[in-house]
Amino acid sequence: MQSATDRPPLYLSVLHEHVAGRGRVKIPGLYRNEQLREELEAYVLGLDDVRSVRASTLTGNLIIEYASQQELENYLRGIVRFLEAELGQPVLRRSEGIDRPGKTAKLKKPAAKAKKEISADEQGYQAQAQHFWHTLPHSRVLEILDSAEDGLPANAVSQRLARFGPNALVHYRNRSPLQMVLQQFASAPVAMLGVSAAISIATGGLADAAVIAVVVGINAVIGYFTEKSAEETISALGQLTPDTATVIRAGKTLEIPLHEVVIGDVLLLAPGAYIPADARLLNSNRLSIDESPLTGESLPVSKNFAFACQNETALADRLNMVYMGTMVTGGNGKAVVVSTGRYTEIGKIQELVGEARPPETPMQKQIDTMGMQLALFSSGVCALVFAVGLVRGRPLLEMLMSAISLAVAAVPEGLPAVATTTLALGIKDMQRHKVLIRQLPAVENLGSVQVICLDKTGTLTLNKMSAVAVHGLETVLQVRHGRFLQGEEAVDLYALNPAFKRMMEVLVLCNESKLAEHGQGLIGSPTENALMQLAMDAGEDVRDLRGRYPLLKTDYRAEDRPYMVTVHMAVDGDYLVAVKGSPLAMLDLCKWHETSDGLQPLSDETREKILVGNERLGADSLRVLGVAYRLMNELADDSAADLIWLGLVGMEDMMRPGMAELMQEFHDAGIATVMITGDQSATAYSVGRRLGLKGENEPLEMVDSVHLEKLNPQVLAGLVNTTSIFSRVSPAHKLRIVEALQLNGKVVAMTGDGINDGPALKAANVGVTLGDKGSDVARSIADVVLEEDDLSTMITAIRQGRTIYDNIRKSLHFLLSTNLSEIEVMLVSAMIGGAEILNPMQLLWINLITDIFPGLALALEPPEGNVLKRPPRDPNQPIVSPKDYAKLLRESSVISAGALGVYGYSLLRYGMGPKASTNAFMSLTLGQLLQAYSCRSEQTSVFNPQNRESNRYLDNAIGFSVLLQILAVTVPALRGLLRLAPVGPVDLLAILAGAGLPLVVNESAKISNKRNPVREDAA
Amino acid sequence: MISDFVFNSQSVTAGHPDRMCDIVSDAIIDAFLRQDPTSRITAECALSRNILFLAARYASDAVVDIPETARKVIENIGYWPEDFNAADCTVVTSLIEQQKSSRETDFSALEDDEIEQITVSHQSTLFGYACRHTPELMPLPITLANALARRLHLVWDTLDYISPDCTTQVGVEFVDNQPKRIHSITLIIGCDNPDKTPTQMTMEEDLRHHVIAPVFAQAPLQPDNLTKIVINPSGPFVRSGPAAHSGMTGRKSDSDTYGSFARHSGAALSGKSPSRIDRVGVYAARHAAKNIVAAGLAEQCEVQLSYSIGHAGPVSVLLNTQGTGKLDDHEIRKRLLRHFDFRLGAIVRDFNLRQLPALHNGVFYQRLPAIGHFGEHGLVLPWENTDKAALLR
Repeated sequence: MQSATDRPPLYLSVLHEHVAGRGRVKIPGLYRNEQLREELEAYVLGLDDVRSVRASTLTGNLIIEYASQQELENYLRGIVRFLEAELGQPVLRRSEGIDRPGKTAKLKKPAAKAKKEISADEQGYQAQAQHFWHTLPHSRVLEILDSAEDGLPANAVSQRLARFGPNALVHYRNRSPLQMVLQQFASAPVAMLGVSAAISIATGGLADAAVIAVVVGINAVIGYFTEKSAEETISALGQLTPDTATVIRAGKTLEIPLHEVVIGDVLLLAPGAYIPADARLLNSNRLSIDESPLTGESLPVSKNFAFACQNETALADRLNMVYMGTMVTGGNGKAVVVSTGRYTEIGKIQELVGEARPPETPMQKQIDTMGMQLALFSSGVCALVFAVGLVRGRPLLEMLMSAISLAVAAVPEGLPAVATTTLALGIKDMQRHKVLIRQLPAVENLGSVQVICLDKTGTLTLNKMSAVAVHGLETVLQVRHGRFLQGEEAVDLYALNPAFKRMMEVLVLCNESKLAEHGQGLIGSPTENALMQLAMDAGEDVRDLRGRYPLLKTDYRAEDRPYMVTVHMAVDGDYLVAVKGSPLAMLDLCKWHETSDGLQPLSDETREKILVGNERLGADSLRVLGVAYRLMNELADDSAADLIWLGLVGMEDMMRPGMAELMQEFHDAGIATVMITGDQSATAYSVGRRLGLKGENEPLEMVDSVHLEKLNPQVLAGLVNTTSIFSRVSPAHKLRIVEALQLNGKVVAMTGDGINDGPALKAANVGVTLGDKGSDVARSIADVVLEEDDLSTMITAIRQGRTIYDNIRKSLHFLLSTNLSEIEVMLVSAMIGGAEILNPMQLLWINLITDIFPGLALALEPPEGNVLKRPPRDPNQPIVSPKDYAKLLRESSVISAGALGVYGYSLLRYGMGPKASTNAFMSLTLGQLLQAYSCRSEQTSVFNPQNRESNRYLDNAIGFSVLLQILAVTVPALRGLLRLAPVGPVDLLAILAGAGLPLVVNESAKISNKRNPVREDAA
Repeated sequence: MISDFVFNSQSVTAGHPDRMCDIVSDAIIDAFLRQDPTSRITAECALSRNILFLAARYASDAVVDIPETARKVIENIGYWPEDFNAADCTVVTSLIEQQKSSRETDFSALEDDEIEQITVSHQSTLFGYACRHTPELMPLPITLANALARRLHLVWDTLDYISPDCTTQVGVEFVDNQPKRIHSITLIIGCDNPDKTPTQMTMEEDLRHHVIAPVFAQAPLQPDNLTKIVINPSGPFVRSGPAAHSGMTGRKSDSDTYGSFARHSGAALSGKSPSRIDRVGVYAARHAAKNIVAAGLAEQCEVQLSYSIGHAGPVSVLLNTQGTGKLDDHEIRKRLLRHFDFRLGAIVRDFNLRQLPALHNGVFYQRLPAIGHFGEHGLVLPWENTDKAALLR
C-alpha cells in the first residue's frame, strides 16, 4: 500500500517502441540533470549496435536508434542497471507494474490507515515498498530486494531488521480494563436508568437516584468481572502456529524465529512448512499450498515459480507467490521474502478487521439479535404500561419513572454476557479434561455433531504392526499379547509342530531388525519388528540364533522378486536359505512342505489349502507373509528354489483399547461414526466390524475407491449418509467426504493429523487433531486438539459441548421467564389502575437480585444424566424456538399469577397500599428465585431429580438472594428505600404459597409433558 | 394350434453390465464356498458409470474381500479403461453378517430324516425344461444365441476392436413345432477400441468368418441364403459397457434359462448360495426334465416344482409333455417322484453343490452366467447328467 520509501521510487517506462531499431524511453531522474544526460548518452553509445542516442533533460526522454536485429529490451536492462548504479536506488520498469501513489489513494481509505501511520511512526520502522511482486520475474525481485538465491549476507539481516521491524502481525488487542468498565455503562438499560435517576432528582427523590446509582454500579462491577475472565479465556484461543521458519542466509540453512524473518530472506519450503511472510517463489517442484487461512479456498493450490501474473491477477491466482499464514502441503521450493509483518497480505486483512475482539459465534449472534428483539418488545410493553397508566389518570412523572424502571428490569441485558461467560467457562472446563479448544464456534458445534469421521491409522489404531495369526499347514493359531492361542486355549507352539520352530528361526534370520543396544526394543521396519517380536514371544534367542547361523548374503525384495532371501552358514558346513515374502510368489518356488512327520512333497491339494489360507488371512489382516527355507550343500546362484514351505504369518495394526466401547458411546449419543482409511477394503471391513461402526444386524456399508474425485459429488452425497467405512481413500479425498456429508446438512467432526488432512479439518464443522502426533499444520487448523492423544476424550468434549449449549438455554430460560413475569405483573397493575403493584425501586431490586446470580449459576450446571444418551440437537433449530416462547409465556404467567394471587389476597385483607404491594413483591421475587430450580432441567423435575447432581453454585446464589430479600424486609433502612411494609406471619404463609405454588405447577407441567410423546427438548 | 412360427431368443456376452453383475455375484458365492462350503450368501450387484454397488448378506466362517473379488471380475472382463476401470471405480458395499442356521451344514453325509429337517426359506414356483432340439436337450434358439455370445467373447483377442459388451439374437423358423431353418441372426457389437473403429465391411466379414461360421459349423441347422444376418444395423457402438448402460443382477434370467422358449421363474439364479431353493430347485427341475426326455419318455417336457416356506420338499410337482409323451403324464410323474428327491437338502447333497467351488479352484458358479446354466460347454454340470434316465425307462 505504501509506496513511500525514504526517496520517491523511480520508474522507467517505454514510450514508443513500435518502429524496429528505434525507441523512446522515459528516464527517471534525467529531467534537468545534465550530468546524468552526458553519462547516460556515453554509456548507451558504448552498447553494441547502437547507431545514435539523444537524451533530453527537458522532457526526461531518451531516444535510441539501433540495428534493427537488436531488441530494445536488451538495452533497457542495461540502462536500468546503469541508472541504479548512478542514482543509488532501484529503478523499476513501468511494465513491471508498481503500485503507484495515485492508485493507492483509494486503497488507503479504510479507517485503519490513520492508526497505522501513527503506529509506523511510533515504532520508528520504515514502511515497506509494495511492488506488484507477482508481475516481476524472480531474478528481478532478487535484484530489487538486493538478495540472492543463497540468501542475505549476515550483516544485512540485522540492518534490515532494524529498518523494517520484526515480522509480527498486530495481535488482537484486548480491551483495556477501563474500556471494559466504561462499556458496562454504555448500554441502553443504563441509559434508561440514567434518565430514571434524572427524573428522580427532578422530583426530589435523591435517595431513589442514589439507589439507582448503586444498582448501576453493582451491575457494572459484576459485568466487568465476568466479561474480563471470559475475554481472557477466549483471547487465549487460536494461535498455535509454529514459531520458527527455515531460511537460507549466506548460503547456510538456518532455523530462525518467525519474527526475525526480514525482506530478502530466502525461505526453504518443504511439506508442512508454515510460510512466515509473503514471498516470491524462486523455484518450485510440485509445490502445493493450503491457502485457506487467506482465501478460504479449502483445496490446496499448486504453485509454480515460472508463472507470470498480470497486475490485476487476483490474490488467489498468483501462482508464483506464497503468503504468510499459509502452509505447504506438498512438494518443495524456495522463495524470497518480499514483505513482512503487517505489510503482508494477511497483515493487511488483519488491520482492516483489526478490531480487538474475536468474531462472535452463530449462537452469540443469535442471542444478540434475540436480545435486541426482546428489548424492543419489552420497551413496547413498557410504553403500553405507560399509556394505560396515563389513561388511568396516574401522574405523568410517576408513570414515566415506573415505565422506565420496568423497562430496565424487563430488558434482558444480561443475555450476551451469559452466552460469552458460559462458553468461556466451558472452554476452561474442557482444558481441565485435556481438550484444547482453538476456535470459539467449535464449542457449540461440538454440541451438535451428528457424524464423526475417524482416521483409522493412528486414531483408532496404535499405528504399530504386530503378528496376529500363524498358519501352519496342520494348525491355525492366533496370537494375542505374545501368547499363541488355538481357539481360545493357550498352547505351546513348539510342542504342536516342529515346523513352527523352523518357522520362527527363519523369521529371526531373514530379518533386518536389530535388538536395541540398551534396554528393550527393536530397531527396524514395523513389519520386521513385528515378526521378530513374534519369534521372541515363541522363545527364540535372537543373539544366539544369529550367532549360530552367520549371515552370508541378503537378497532384498525387488520389483521382480516379492520376497526376501538370506543365506546363512549352518552348523555342519551346510547352508541355510531363509525366505519370507509374498505367499503367492513363494508358493511357486516351493516343492516341499514341512510336517510333523518330516518333509512331504507339496501336492496340488496342499497348495490349494495354502492359497485358501492366504486368502482368508489376507482378507482379515493388513499384511500376510509366507515363510520357507531350504538347506544346501553348496552355494548356488539361484538359492531360492526347491524351497520347503513352512507357513503364513498375518499381521495387523493393533487397535487402541476401548475403541469399540467408544463407538457404542457415540452411537448412544446419536452420533454416526465413519471410518476413513487407506487400507484395502477387507482389512477396513474387518476393523470396522470389530469396532461396531454400525449397530448389530445393520448393514455395514462401505465405499471402496481410490478415485473419489471421479465420483459425481451428488452421487457421493447420496452414498455418504449410510456409509460407515471409506477404504483406500487418500487423505486428500477426506475433504470430499466432509463436503458430501455437509451437503446432506450434517454437522461433521473429522479427525486428522497429517499435512494432507488440513483442508478436511478446515472444512469440517469440528476439526479434531490428536495430541503430539498431529503435524503442525493439523494442529494449527484444527478446532479441537485432544491433548492426551486419546480419542476417548472426544466424547468428553462432546458432552461438554452439549452441556454448554444446554446451560446457555437454561440461563436464557430463566432470564426470559422471570423478566416476562415482571412485565405481566406490571401490565396487570397498569390495567387494574389504582396504586402500582410494584414501585420502581422494587423493580430495580428484582432486577438486581434475581437476574444476575441465578442466571450465572445456571450456566455452571453439571451435565444432565442423559446428555450422551440423546440425539444431537438440530443445528437449524434456533436456541429459543417458538415452542419455547410458548412455554416461557406459560411459566411466566404462572409465576405472575402466584404473585397476583397474593396481591389479590392482600387487597382483600388490607386494601390498596404498601402492605399489598409488599406481599406481591416478596412473592414475585421468591417465585422467580424458585423458578431457577425449575430451569435446571427440561426433563427432570425438582420432585423427581433422577440422581441429578445438585448445583452448589445455584444453591449459593439462591441462598444469597433469599438472604438479601429477607434483609430487604427486615433492615429498616432498606425497607424504607423499597417502601416495604413489615410482613406478618399470615402474610408470610401467603407469600410462600404464592411463590411455591407456581413452582409446583410448572414442575407438574414438565412431568405431564414428559408423558406426552411429543418431545419438549427437541432443540 | 399354430405350429408354424419363428422363435427368437437373445443373449448377451460377459461384458454386458447385467451379465457382469451376475458374474460378480456368483464370484462372491464362489469365494465364500471355497473357504467355507457351509456358507450361506446372497449377493446382489448393480452397476453404473464408474460405480459398483454390492449388497451381500452372509453367514460364513470365510473371510472374503468382497470389493476386491468384484474388481478382479471386472478386470478379467477387460473393458477399455474409458468404459470401466476396475482399479479406479468406486465399489460401494452393504454387508450384513448373519448367524448360521441348520441349513448351513455339510449336506454330503446327511441321513434321510436329517434332510427332512432342512426346510426351504423361500417360496417359489420353478420350472425345468428339456426338448430334443439339440444333443444337450435344450431349445435351439437360445442354444445358438448363447453359443454366439460365447464365441464373441472367445474371439475378443483376435478381433481387438470388439468390446466385451455385445448382444446376440437368433430367430429359428419352426414348421410343425420342429426347427426347420435359421430365420435370422442379429449381432450388436460394441466397438470401442479408441484407436481403431472398423469399417462396416471389415466388421461384417470378421464376424461371419470368426463368429457365425464356427458356431453354426456344429449346429443342427445352418443359415441359408435367405437367413437375414444383421450386424450393427445402426453402426458401431462407440461406447459400450457400463459407460453406456447400467446393469443389475438377475435381469437376464431368460437367457440364463430357456430363452423364453419355456417358462422360467422370474427369480435370479446368480448371487445365491446352494441353500436358496429358488436357485437349486431350477437345477433340479432341469435335471428331472432332461432325464425324462433322455429316457425317451417324451419329446419335450416341462417340470414344475412349487416350494413353500417350512417344507423340506416341493408342495407340488407337475409336468407337461405337451402331448409328446410316450406314456401318460401321470405315469411319468409317478416314476419321477419315485426316483427323484426334490427336497432342498437332497438336491444340495446329490449335486454336491456346496463343494463345487472348492473342487474347481474357487471358480465354478461365476462361470455359469457366461457359459449358460444349462447345456454342456466345458464345465460338467451335475444337473445336466442323464444318470437317472435308465431308472425312468
